[in-house]
Amino acid sequence: MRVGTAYAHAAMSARMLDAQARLYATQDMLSSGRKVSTPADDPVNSSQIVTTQAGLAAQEAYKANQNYLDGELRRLESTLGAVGDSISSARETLVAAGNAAYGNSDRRSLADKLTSERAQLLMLANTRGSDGQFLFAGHQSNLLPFYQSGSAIAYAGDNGTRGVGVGPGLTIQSNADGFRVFMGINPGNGSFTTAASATNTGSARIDSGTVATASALTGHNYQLQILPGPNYDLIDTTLGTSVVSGAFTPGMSISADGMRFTVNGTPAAGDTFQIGQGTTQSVFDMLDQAIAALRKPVTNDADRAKVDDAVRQAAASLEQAFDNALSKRAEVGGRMNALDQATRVSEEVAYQGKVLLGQIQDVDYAEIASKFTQQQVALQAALSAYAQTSRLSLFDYLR
Amino acid sequence: MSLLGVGTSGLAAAYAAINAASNNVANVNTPGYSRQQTVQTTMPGQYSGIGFTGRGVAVATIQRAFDAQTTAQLQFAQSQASEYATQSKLMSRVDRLFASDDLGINAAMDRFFSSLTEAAARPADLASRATVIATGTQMAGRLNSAAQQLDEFGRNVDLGVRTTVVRINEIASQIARTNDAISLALGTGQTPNDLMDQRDELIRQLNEQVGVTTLAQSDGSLNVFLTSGPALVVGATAGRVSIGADPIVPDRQIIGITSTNNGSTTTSQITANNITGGALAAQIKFRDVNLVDAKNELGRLATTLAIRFNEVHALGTNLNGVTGQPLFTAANPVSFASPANTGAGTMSVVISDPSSVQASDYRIDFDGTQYSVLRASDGRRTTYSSMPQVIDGLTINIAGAVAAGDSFQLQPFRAGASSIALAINDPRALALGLTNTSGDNRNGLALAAVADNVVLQGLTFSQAFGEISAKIGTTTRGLQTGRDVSAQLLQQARADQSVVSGVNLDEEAAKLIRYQQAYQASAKVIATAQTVFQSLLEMGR
Repeated sequence: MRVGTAYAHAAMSARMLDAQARLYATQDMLSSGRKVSTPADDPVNSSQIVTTQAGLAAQEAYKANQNYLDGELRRLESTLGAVGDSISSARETLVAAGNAAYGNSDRRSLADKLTSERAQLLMLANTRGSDGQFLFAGHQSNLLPFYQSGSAIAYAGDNGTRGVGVGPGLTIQSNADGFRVFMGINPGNGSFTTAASATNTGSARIDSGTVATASALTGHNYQLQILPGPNYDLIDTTLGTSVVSGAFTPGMSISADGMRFTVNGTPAAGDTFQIGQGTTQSVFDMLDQAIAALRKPVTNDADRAKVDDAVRQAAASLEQAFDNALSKRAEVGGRMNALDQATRVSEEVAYQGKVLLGQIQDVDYAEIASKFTQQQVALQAALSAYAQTSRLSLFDYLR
Repeated sequence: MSLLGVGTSGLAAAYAAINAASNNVANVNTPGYSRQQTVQTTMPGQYSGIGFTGRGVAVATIQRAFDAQTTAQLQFAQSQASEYATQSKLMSRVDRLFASDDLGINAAMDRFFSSLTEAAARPADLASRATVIATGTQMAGRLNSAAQQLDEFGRNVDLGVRTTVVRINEIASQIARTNDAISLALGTGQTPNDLMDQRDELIRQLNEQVGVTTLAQSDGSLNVFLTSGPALVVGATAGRVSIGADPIVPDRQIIGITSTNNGSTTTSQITANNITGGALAAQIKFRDVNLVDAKNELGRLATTLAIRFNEVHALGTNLNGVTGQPLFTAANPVSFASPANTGAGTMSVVISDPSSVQASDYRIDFDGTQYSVLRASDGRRTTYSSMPQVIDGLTINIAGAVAAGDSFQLQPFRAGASSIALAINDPRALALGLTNTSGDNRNGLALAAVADNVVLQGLTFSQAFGEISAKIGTTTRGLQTGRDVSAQLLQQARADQSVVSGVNLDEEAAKLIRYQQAYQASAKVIATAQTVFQSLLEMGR
């Protein structure tokens, strides 16, 4: 078969150029570390590259949010811890106030102590997050949420929650509802309140009561009336009916409609005690009431009974406030756990994404290096074959 | 007497053969040259009593080594290889535009989405809001520049088409002239080998520009036709390929061919659908199919991005206490009536369901009773008896008096990517809340969630971009494979052609030796004849 000389040269040089081009392409892969640089390099996987990169970019943003949220939740958690400590310390102060040996000045100094606890609590309630926004203000995070309005503390925030995106479709709340932490606390024993009427002249004291049968609670208001005898009559003031009545003995425990409470000491006929649903109260109000009661000079047993009653009520309510702070703190702890989990999921997803991208896009150096060597050999062979065959010509032998 | 004649004829034949071999050697590197050889025949013998005495040799003709089948194969392979090489080169540029590296369009989208996720966590932080503005601007800018690059490719390929058309017309008239020269030369009774070679080479070169077929005529000329049918060369007359402006779609070139046959001229249009082979087919297909697809895909992505983010943004309230203004602006769908319309109908289009829109242009024809809507991307045609209609998520209306034969063009997303822009530049104007309180991030979360939502034909924006990138990649890869395969086939055709027509220097060297010896031998015959005559003459003294 005849091979055209011009074609033979062209074909050999084309093969040489091909071998060279392949070698350069491989060299390019070796230096860039990438085997896929445009969609055409791997059309089947190009969509996956795009979505995996999007996933990785999203994880980066989630990671930034996770770090931010971690700081916010730590701050929130430690603040709620401090709130609990503060309330607990106030309660201890109140318990000390029950000491029968304390005089008016002792009580005044206790009131001073409570005043500083209150200031401490107010400061905690107005804590700011890392971005300078108030943690307990809901959506009104740039307004001072707790402020003195007249004689009481008012709440300027709202119940707005701020969710921080920490994963696809996953948000975790970063702030806390200041109203629920500091303002809207169920007073008394948490179910009902007991209080001596301000007009009482006797020295009887009612305790905070307990729930005997939760299912029997009515949610009504009641009044315990001490009648001459002494007798007592517990009236359901919501219905206007007597629930239970009988002879009164100090220290007796009265049970009715699921409630049980004890009245100690000596009441005067006509004294009354209110048992009811008490409206929600702020922790500041609780302290304010106790402080006011402690600052009032005591001159007789009846006064003393009123101070004791106020201190008892405040102590019971502060216990609710303490439990409330504790449960809010536990809730934040739950969020931290969820964040921890989300962080680990993120890291795993990011790791998997990087591995996947690496498999699709990155060169296997061992494989490519050996390919490079092969192609080098091929190019050398092509060059030497060209040089040698082109030396062969019959014209060389014509003399 | 005859001895001298025999010797002389041998001398002449050997000389002619040496000449042919030398010509072959001289033309070893001439493109399109076919090896030539002398065809020798014996001269008829002279009768005498002892029988027929040989009278020597005659050179009948000089023949080129040629095989019509092989040549046709080479020409076809050339048109294929040239088309694939051109189109794959053009498409590779588009492919590079969709590379998913740090500068990629998708990376810009990712950064925008991430900035929203982070800003939503800190709605009061102006720096985070400013980042959203910056990344949003960058994303829009990246889409703009990709669209501008696609436009630039379009302008470049328009120039390329001009060059190709000039070259086609040039080669066509050369072929016509060569046809003329060949039919004249054939009148001498001999074949003009070099002219034939030249014409075959011209046709091969023409196939580089556009795919053609040929039909041999009895006068030796070759008629040349485009693969779509119209004649480019008839005998000594060349047709003309020309470029004009599209009467319906502005800024669009149309390409036509005018054929002349026996004084009558016909004109037909060359389109992506009817042309195959050569650079012209590649350029037209790239410009009218690949580029349009890429622009529409990108435009659809940009337009729906704008719509989706604006939708959510409008639900929020910004820090200035104002309802979220549009976050992005993007061009509305472009539609226009054909200038050739006789009716006064005007068309309007609104995107009514952004999740089901298609990346395609449309053409609507009215035949007097029916509106026929043609989706350009896949050629699907749907007819309606009235307007308005909802088609592929677009509410299309044609109002006014429409006449039969009127047509309308609709390009819903052609300008989407080039026109998208971020519409706000004040970080406070970003509506991250549902109320204008600084800690409200509910709308920010909703905006960030747009990136995770299924928004376009059941895909998220990232997935939709992934689909585009896969489409572009598959098309490019297909063209590259076609380029490699057709280059191999071309190489094979060249090899086959070289076997038939190529000059082999060693063979020619051998021929030189052979005919040199024959020449020397014939010279010896003449010398012998001289000696014989000399002897005879000396006898007569």
